[in-house]
Amino acid sequence: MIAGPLLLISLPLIAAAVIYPFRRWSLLTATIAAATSLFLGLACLRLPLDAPSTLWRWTVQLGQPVIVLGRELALQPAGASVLGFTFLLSAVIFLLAGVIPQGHLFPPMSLTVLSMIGASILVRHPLFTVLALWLAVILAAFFVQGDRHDSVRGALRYVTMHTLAIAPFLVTSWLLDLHLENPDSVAPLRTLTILLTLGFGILLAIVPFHGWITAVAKDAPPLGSALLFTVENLAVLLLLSDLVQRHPWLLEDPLLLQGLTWGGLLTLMLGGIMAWVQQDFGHLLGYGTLSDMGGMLMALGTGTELGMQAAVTLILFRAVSLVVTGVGLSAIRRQRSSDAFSDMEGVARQQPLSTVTLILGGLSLAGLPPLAGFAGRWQLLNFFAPEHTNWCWLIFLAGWGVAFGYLRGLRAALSSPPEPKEHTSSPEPLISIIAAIATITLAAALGFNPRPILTLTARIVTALPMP
Amino acid sequence: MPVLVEFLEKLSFLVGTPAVAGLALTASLIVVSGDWRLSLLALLVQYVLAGLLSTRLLPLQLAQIKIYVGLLTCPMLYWAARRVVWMRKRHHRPEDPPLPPWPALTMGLPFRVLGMVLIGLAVYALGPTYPLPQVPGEIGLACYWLGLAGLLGLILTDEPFQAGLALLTFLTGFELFYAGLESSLLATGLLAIGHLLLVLIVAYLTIARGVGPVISREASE
Repeated sequence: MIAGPLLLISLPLIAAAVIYPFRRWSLLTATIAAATSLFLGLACLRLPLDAPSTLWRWTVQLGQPVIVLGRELALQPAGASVLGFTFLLSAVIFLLAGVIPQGHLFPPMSLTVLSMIGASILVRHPLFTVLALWLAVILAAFFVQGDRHDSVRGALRYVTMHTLAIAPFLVTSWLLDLHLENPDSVAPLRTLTILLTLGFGILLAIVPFHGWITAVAKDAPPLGSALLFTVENLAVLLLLSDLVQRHPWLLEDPLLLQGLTWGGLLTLMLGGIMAWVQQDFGHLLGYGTLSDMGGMLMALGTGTELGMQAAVTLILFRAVSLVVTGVGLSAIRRQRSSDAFSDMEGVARQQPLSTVTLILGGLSLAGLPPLAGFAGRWQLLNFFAPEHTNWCWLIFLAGWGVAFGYLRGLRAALSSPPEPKEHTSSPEPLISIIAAIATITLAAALGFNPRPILTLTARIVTALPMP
Repeated sequence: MPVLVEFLEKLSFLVGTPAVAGLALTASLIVVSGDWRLSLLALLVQYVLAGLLSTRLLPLQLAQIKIYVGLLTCPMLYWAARRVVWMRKRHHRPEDPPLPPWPALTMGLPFRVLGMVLIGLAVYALGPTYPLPQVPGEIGLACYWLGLAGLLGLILTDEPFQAGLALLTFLTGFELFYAGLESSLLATGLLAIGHLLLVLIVAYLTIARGVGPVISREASE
């Protein structure tokens, strides 16, 4: 019988090793990566955790814990839902990456990242969760950089900030172990919460530790950004939830939750304001994501189950928005080798569907109706409306800041070049058109009927009660 | 590896204040020096000295892991830097406009020296006031020095080679401190794997950045 944790960690690694030699063949590698992710995603969401299931000739029990080098790896209900969504999202992204390539390293390295993210969710100790997350980040930096030579800022900042973040987490883990061994000892609560606030502040890109988000959004392949910003957020959310469930006394010091709330508010506002004035779609994507993350942090900072629900909903709908806008941005970057507004002249005529996808995805990220992102934003507004009406206005305005940024980009794309250039006459590839139509349909469908995502959110949150 | 054990035993006289002073010197050199060879040599010595100090906190077998990581790190970074220099030399043509210079620290030497002096003062103030738990005082000082020097190095440049060395200096300082807190094989092993992967990405980014102008020129031709 195969234990679930081994399957979830080893299968992506094996698939990555198999496809790595063929990394130049984007369609082949992306298809294998998508099939692997789809299989694991469906397994996580469909198979029972507490009973063995038969998959072809193998018997698998997803919930069976395993001990690796003295550490227990186990799939919990919340982890199964999060991993299920993660793998399904990855399958969609890999399929899209097959038709709009995201770099030769993207499929194999993403699979290794998924394996490490899986390990971080499965291992039941914060020390190893953080170390696995760190390994995932370093591996992800390879596809963030990809084959580009003009900038290394995104990959460097991503790795640097996460390396700095592991220090407070590892010390926290030691202090918590010390407290577990000797509960009578006076736990240095303030030290712990300062360290945790610092660590989560970096991982969740709270201002002033937000620089890596915009740098990654600018340099990474857009679908890679969509994967990283979603998957990492979910893993960090699980880590936070796990920590406060095991050590509820951590919340006796209000610093952590207050840090999340006020840091979230600051992040939301900064994201909205900066998105307004950006001059390229890469940075705009980063600030749009940052603004959305600010809202998520504010909800999380309330420390309630409803707040957790609003936060998870925002992350899941943000994933959809990021995929949609990522498809458009990838298609345009492929043709133009740039995403600056100043280079967008005539794009709307040359690549109309890619432009529509890019802008609709951006407006969805801003939370405008009737797109998918609106459902998440609406839940957030509903959550804060009874007690914090002023915050609702700020959330609304931040969303408009992001929307305005995309509308400025649209204006640049609609403008005509002073004189027609040769490259502006090449038609939009059919495959890009199909990918654009598919993702726009997905965003619109989830906007009108958000039930599948809301059901998954409820499933995750039910398994993650806040203390 | 018995050779390494013998080597560590021969250098055991350094464990203590000489190693701490050596770490302060190497970290300062990494931050201050603009010469990649000198910085890399300082990093190698830093790994050996940090490994020697780790023998006071960890079993010898685990402390050896840290020295092995250092011994693997420096050739990888040397190869990356060498490759950049070689590519640039190969593509140097007097008739063309010169390639942008090999990435160097952006701030001037006096500024960096002043920065290190301030770091020294900060360590002098922090060490006795906030002693690190579970590590002897002098090792705590070394951890502070490495950590703060690494942070300063990260602030001073965004070039991957120099920033990478600064990040590795920070990490070495933290690992030295953490060796006093956690001595499990799994944690040490995972930190070592992460450390090596970090070196690999620094080397990858160094090459990407260093040969970028060469590739741009080739593409334009």
